[in-house]
Amino acid sequence: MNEQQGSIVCVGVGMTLGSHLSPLSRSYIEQADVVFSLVSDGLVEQWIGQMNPDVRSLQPYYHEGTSRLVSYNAMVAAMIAEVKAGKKVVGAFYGHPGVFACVPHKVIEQARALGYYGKMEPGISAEDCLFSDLAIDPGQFGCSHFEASQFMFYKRIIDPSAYLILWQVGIAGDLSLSKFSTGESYRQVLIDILSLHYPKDHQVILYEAPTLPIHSHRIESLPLSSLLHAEIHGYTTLVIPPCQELTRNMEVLQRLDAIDKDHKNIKLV
Amino acid sequence: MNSITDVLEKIGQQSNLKYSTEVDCELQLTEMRVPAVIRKVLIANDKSELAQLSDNKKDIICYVSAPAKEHEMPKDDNKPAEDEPKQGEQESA
Repeated sequence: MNEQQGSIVCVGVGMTLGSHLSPLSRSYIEQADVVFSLVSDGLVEQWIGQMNPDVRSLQPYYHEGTSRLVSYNAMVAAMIAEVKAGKKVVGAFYGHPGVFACVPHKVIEQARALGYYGKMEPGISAEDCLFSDLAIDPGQFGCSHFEASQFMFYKRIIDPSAYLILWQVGIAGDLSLSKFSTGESYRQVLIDILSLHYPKDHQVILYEAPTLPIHSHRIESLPLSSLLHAEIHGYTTLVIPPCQELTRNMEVLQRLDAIDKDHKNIKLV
Repeated sequence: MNSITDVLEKIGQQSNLKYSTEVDCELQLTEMRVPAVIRKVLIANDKSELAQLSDNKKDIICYVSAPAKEHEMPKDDNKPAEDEPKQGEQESA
């Protein structure tokens, strides 16, 4: 398919103003005909606004009481309209544009389906900051990530010997997708689900990456049961460390051992 | 360098400021020709004062993820579909 004039590139601006934006992403923002921004701090939004004469915030698309799916679709439609007008469009999203962010994926998918150029440029995500600040190596015990509401709505397989990380925990359990925060009754349901797998006194962590370089991260350890009354914002992430040791899979280990022995015998022959 | 975002960008790119004591930080911000009023707010790490100085009063919403695709979301007054788990029926893995 021949690509038409008009393009969409979604870039990540990272989590911390000034510290995380890659030279390539900055260049995309500066060279764009129009930039749509969705970031996690008003000052970061101002900062992006200085990089290009036509930067449009996606904040006005959010309305409390309206499903975020409606807002997300409207954001995608606004960006696609400019792509169809033949413009070089850039979506500047906080963190990594492809991590726990459906709008960038959707707009690129739609643009490509219409025959336009679409690309995603990675950024430093909240996940990246979390691994650094909490000194977690996801490879040590394994690590599962879920959007908190999805974790509640569906039956998931939980492995208490690995890290469990829940995103958007501030709106956990919101079936309407129209709330900007959910209260204690919703959070109690989440605690009840987690309590099936973790002791109520298990230490969990509330994490927030700094958005401004003068701020520091938030790392608050608390027992699982205390989550109910904890201060949780839209950008707070819940980290649940393992509560069980890794269990050896003896059946698999014996099979692998047998293969090793066979290989040795073949060499001897 | 007068804009707060310019100053913050510079701070975000300066590794030496990450090690600095308050006195060192003040000195370095002075060398960066950051106006005294901004210096004071930055060193005090006063979020609300910073928002006022930068004329930044917006409540930012940053949710960009959805728990399911549109056609998979529960319908009918936002109640779970009949085949979805009711409260208290979440199975353990």
